[in-house]
Amino acid sequence: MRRSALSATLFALSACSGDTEGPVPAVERVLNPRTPEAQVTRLCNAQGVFSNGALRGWTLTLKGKRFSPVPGDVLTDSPSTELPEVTLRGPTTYTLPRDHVSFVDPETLKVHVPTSSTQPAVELTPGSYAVEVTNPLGGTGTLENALLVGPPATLTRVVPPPGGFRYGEAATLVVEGADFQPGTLPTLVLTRPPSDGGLPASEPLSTIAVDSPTRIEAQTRPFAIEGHYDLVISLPEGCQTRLEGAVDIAYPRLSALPPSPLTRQGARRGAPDVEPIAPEPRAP
Amino acid sequence: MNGLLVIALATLASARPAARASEPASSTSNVWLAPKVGFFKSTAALDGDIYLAMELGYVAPVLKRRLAVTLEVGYHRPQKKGTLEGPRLDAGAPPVEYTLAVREVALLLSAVYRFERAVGTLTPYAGAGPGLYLHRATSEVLGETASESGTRLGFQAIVGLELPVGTGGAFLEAHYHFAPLDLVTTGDVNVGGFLAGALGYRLRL
Repeated sequence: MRRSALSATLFALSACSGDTEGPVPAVERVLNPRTPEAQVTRLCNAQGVFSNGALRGWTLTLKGKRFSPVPGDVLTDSPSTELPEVTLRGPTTYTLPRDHVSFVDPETLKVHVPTSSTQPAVELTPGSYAVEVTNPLGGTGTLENALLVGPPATLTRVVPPPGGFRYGEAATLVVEGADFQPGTLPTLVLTRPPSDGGLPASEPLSTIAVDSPTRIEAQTRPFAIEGHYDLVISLPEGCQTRLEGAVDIAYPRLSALPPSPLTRQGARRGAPDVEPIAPEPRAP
Repeated sequence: MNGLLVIALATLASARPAARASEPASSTSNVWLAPKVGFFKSTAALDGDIYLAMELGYVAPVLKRRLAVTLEVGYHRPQKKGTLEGPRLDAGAPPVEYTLAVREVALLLSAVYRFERAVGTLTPYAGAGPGLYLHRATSEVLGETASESGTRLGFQAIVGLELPVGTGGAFLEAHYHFAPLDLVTTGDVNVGGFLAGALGYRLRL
């Protein structure tokens, strides 16, 4: 009986769960480097940028205090560095893999947020997210409503100007679709494939206003080049969407001038004579 | 350190008159208290450090009073310094240095067999037993301090040589500790090692 009690005590002592103690981080701001001045930090839940040959999703910069790495496994043959853990909490809760977090300094972390286009795919449900940072041996700091996750825009059609395009005049186009962001300025570009092996042509549009999540007004350049264009919309946070064959820019043709009699002296009245010209035959 | 140990051993061996004088006292008491100090070098990649301990011993009335049971509380705090490495650190940033200190408080329960006066007045002894090792690893990085702790069972082995001096006995001994540890900063390792040449004095109570 005594022996078993002693064994149980020793086992309980040896199994004591350790505790940790360290600096508590504070998350003060989450920035999308593409829109550092934006009042609301947005993140697209699709596409991303390539890094080292792989699509890595989008990069966010976390600003705060006391982001504290610690040495990891330093008494083993494979020492490492343990960095703070970053979790996005909102409609979906997602803890970023360790290799998606980089340490810049105690006030700055960079994170790569995967998307539905990355491998493996992670599609964050659109909505508002809190960003949580947990130091390896310390507490947790959270910034509520730090991030607004949204889908890429959808393009449905482009409504040409009612009176058509006029050379030398800017034309107003109405872009219809979904998930546009009122209050932001997306980039709109008309593009067409290269002709005769040349460079692809593009016509930037100037955005007049994002009227609603489904409607944008934009203008062409006054001297836009005629052609059959795709429309590409780039949201400020990075996602792009293309609508193929969105617009035909064509200017009205001058109607055929009726042949009029020449009034110059010596000219003949009536239709002009046509003289066939053929190359002279060469001697063999 | 080795020179110090040689000097200490020579001192113990030459303390003949006092040893003789203390013989009756040491043989009549079954309990002793022994402070000890030594140098501990871990088998892990930690620097060596001073080892401090207090031992409580009891001579069991068996095996012609040659078997003793000791409970020792030991303390040392070795360190390791280095630079953080890894692909997740900003390449353009200056190197980040760290200091990791592993404090160990060990509760060592040992059965010790004493070869009483087997070598002249000297008493060699050897023992072993389980140990409860309480660790706290503290890292300092970029001015911030973080720590973690854990407790694990291990074992230790002891050999020593005691010379009667006064009412007790001066001794020189060596330890081997097997002290497993699995913390974030250290990894899963044995931070035990060798206590080379601890000096102490067993005061018979």
